[in-house]
Amino acid sequence: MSGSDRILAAAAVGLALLVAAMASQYTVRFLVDPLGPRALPYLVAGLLAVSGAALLLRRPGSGSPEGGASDAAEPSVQPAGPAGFSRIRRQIAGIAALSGYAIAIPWLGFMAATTLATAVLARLFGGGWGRGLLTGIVFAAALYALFSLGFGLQLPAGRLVALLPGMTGG
Amino acid sequence: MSALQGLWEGFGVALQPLNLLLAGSGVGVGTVVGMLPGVGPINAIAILIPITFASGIPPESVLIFLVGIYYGSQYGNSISTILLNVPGTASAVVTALDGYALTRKGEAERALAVAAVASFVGGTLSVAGLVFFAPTLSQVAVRFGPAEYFALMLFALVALSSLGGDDIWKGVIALAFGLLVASVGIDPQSAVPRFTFGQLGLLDGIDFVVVTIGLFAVSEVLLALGESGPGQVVTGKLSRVALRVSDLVTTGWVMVRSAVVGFGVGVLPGAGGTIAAFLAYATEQRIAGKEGEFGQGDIRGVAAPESANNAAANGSMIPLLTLGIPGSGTTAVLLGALTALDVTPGPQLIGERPEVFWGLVASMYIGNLLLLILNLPLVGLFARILSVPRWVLMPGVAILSVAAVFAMSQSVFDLLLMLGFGVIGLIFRKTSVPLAPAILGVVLGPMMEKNLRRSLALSGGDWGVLFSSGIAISFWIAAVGTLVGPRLFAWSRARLRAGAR
Repeated sequence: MSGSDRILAAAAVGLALLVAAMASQYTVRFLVDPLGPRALPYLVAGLLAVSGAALLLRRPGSGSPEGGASDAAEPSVQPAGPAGFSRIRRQIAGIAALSGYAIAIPWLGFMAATTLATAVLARLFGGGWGRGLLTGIVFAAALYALFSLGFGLQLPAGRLVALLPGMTGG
Repeated sequence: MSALQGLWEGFGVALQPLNLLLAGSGVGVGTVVGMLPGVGPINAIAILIPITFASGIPPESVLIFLVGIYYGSQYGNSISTILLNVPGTASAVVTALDGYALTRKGEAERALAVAAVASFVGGTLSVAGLVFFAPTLSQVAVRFGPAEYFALMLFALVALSSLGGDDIWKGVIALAFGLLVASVGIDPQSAVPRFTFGQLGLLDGIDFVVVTIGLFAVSEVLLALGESGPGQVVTGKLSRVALRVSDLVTTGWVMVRSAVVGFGVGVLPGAGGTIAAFLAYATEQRIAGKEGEFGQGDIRGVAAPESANNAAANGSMIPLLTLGIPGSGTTAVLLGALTALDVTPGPQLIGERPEVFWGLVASMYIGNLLLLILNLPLVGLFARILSVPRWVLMPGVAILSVAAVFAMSQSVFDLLLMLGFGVIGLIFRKTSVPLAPAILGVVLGPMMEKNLRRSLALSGGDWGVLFSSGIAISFWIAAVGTLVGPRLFAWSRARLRAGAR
């Protein structure tokens, strides 16, 4: 596990340098208080640099006792998702699906986007397309009822709907 | 106003139909999310904050609901722990030892019954402690100035990063990350934009709801995508819950003692339910001595941690409500919710917003009673929720996360930001970086900076002001103590062991 720890430590030190460099640009014309806007970012940079350095310099083996506990127990169960999808690819697909969902809401409308996103995610978790779509319709309807009918929030109907001939967006 | 008078008026608030309904649904939701591994109270509360805000109900009602989820989850977490050996939340890890052993002996119903009663005893006694201690602590805290608050917040941050159980340096990384997120946006004192990268969406800073849902809920879903978990199904049907008088006799004092232990641990920042449960379990094990069967299905091993983790949850409400300082991830999220509701927790809360404070406390009595009713006869019904397949549950969490943030901000930028925090949360989980210090940094960061800069402005830049009062100095000592203490203890024990060899 010390490999991923080393990457984490390097990232912390790198971020510390970046934060310090950016903070050094923050200038105020007259000093309102003795500390100014740079103090907190400098503290952040300092904490990141020190903890990153401490992780880097630590002797291997003296790390956290449960280091990498999340990876240690590899369950020998059949993968949940579609065949041929490795863990990391399922995770990337999940992030892509959720990003697509976020971007699609204003275009497809809340209901359609929610239905589709649920179906894709359900598939990634090993459910079937049909049942996933059905779950999506239930989720979309329930959330629409809660937000729109219950709380009176405006949920987007979708810009694409407005483009269809003979329909007025709303 | 005396405490009893306040409590009386609090019941007037808590017994209003809306608030009764919200207390009931809060503890119901809490039981379910506490039970389901992967959907903790922190995720549920974070997701429900924007949803409850959208509903436009008054602050005390929102709080009754959200806090109900928090203590309700401490009941629910024992259900999956006892039945499946899968702790619903970390604070139920200890319950698994004897709870699951009892299930394997075919005495699941007995363990569940005692867990419910223990949760009730721990919960109710600690609310009584809240009634007694909170007003007293408020009177002390009224005298705190910016220097005292700064030292106190530092103590809370150090305690959480140090006692989290994980690697301290990783806790510091998480904390620094949280502080960095907190500093994004226009600095209120100097009007300088920090880390905004020219993005309009970042000028006002990042909403803590976006950070919390991303770091906790979204990363949980992403983590689950990388795991190949089989759907956990409860095997065998539960018969009626078996509450035995003999069990109550054996565990009565165990529950009371553990409630006291849990409450004391809960009040301290950083420690929380898990440490409380461990401590109570270890104490009872020692008291029982050789006649105990701890680890092999001793009913006291269920009663002790369950009473303690409930008491700790309620105890942690004291620093939150009377000082405005959260000592854990969940209470940090609750603080964010309170601030967004325009309720400032702190020593003035009891005097200025008695309906919020006493209404909440009274609702906790009612909520604990409702939980006992939910958990004794209806436990079989709740246990059935455990067989909801993962392909419904996990997409549900993800969709709710997105929908909740969208309902709050109507901004795709915020949604993408949340997903970004989800990826960071996943990286943190994979490298065993604790998430709670990050969220505490996000919530406490702006307050700490404000108090530090204010006290230094008042003193004309003299740092001595931070150590000018006895209270401030004692917080500094406490902070250094929690940082050095455990390491010194471990070091001296290792020395002793080496010497004995």
